[in-house]
Amino acid sequence: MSEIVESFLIKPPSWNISSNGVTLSSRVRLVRNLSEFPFATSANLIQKKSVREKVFSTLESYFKSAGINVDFIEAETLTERDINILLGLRLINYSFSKDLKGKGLCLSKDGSISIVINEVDHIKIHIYSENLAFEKIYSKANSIDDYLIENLNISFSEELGFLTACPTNIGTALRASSILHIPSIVTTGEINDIAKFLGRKDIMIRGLFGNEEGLGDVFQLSNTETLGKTEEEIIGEVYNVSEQLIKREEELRNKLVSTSPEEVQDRINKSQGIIKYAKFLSLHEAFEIISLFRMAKLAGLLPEIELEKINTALLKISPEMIKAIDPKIKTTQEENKLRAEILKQILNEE
Amino acid sequence: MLCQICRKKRSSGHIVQIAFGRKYIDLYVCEDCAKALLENAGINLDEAESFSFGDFLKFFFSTMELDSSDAQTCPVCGSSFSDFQRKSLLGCSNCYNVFKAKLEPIIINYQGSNKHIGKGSHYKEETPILKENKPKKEPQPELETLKKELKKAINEERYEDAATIRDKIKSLEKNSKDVRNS
Repeated sequence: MSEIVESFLIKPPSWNISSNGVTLSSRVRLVRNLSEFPFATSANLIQKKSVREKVFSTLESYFKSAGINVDFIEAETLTERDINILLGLRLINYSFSKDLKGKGLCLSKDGSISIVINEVDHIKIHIYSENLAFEKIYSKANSIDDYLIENLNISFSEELGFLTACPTNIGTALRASSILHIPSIVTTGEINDIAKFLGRKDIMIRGLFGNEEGLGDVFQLSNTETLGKTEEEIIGEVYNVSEQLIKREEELRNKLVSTSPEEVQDRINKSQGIIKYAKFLSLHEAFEIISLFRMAKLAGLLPEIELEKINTALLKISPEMIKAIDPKIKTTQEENKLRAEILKQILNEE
Repeated sequence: MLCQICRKKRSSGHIVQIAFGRKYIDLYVCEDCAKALLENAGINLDEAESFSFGDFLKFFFSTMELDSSDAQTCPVCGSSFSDFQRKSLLGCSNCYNVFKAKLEPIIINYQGSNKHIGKGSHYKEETPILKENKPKKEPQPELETLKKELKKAINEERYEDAATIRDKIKSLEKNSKDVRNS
């Protein structure tokens, strides 16, 4: 069991719950490899442990001199509960959680820095923010990167830039992404045109709460290309497209709320009834309610509920977080029962 | 509107985007033509959740003439190009040198470029230029050159030169044997 990960369940990292607009969070990711070892997916356990030791040691000196409080975790020590918390908070992805041997994690106490060792590449630096502060988080990542380059043999080619296990990541090896809550764009159907428009801009869009019923209202945007552009160009493109979507969402939201305020209030009232009386809530049902509340809150309705509470609810309804909160849960029904209780706790003003 | 490929059935909302450099053409196609195109590329529309790099590779390889008899492997990590085709992942940094010719069209197609202009490149002069990490195991050009010189010396009947060169070759071969046995 990891103390720092446990602490994130009680008090989630600020960037997960502090968003006050359409942007839920943003992230900058840099991928790096040590040139004297095979990439993580082809390396043996001894090599992976050597990589982990070297990188941990280098990062330790960096963070010490930078005065940043971090924890170093050998992945083998993580429990299933820790993994669920990390997945729920998006500090790791599923690829990391499969076979933990030789993998590592470096987490800052405030949860805004997550450095993953030996998932597919040797080093993946992630810095998070609750808004679109790309320049700020890139500068933090860049500073860590400069130190790694100075103290380790980071794999680099004059022609192809930073080398990575997958050719989709070479060059700058930078992925800038934003997570946006755009319910009005989805309701009006504009989301389909946007997907096309984004393809032309070399930006990929992925629904995070999509299922058979629909696309969901939360989408992640990131650059597709990492080679042949400068870091500033990539960040600029993701920032600009995100800003455009935010503006459009705000326009459409205001229009929807001002043209049919009674319908919106009615939907809110019905949802409040569901929260109060439902015994079971599926992920989809819970998400729909939270998405509506969040949209309404940003439109100036729902003064009695804090936005941070709504953001926290959004975080806690995922299956991973539910299982982390009560590891004894085995079936979907048990999950749905706890989810209904959690929503009642967080959103009901009792 | 009618499917722009078969011109028989109505287009069902599937779009095929074809890029010519920076220009894009959208073709509106029917479900059957969309499925047929993907089938030729080895992608099952019903099973595919999202278009991954693995799918991109499958589609790319289906349109490429591949020399499947090439069993070349990377001397550093031992991976072959077919390992890459299978996993969509390379084995080590040196693989980019070994499989350069085969990777180039894939990189250009996916990334739209094959030239790094970001951090560490000459293009960005204010950042420190990174050392290019060359792989440690490289073939010895000296040995080959000396062997050619030996042949030449013998042909030209310069037997004293030939003897000197022969001794150099012997000592180089002994050194590399020692390194391998240590």
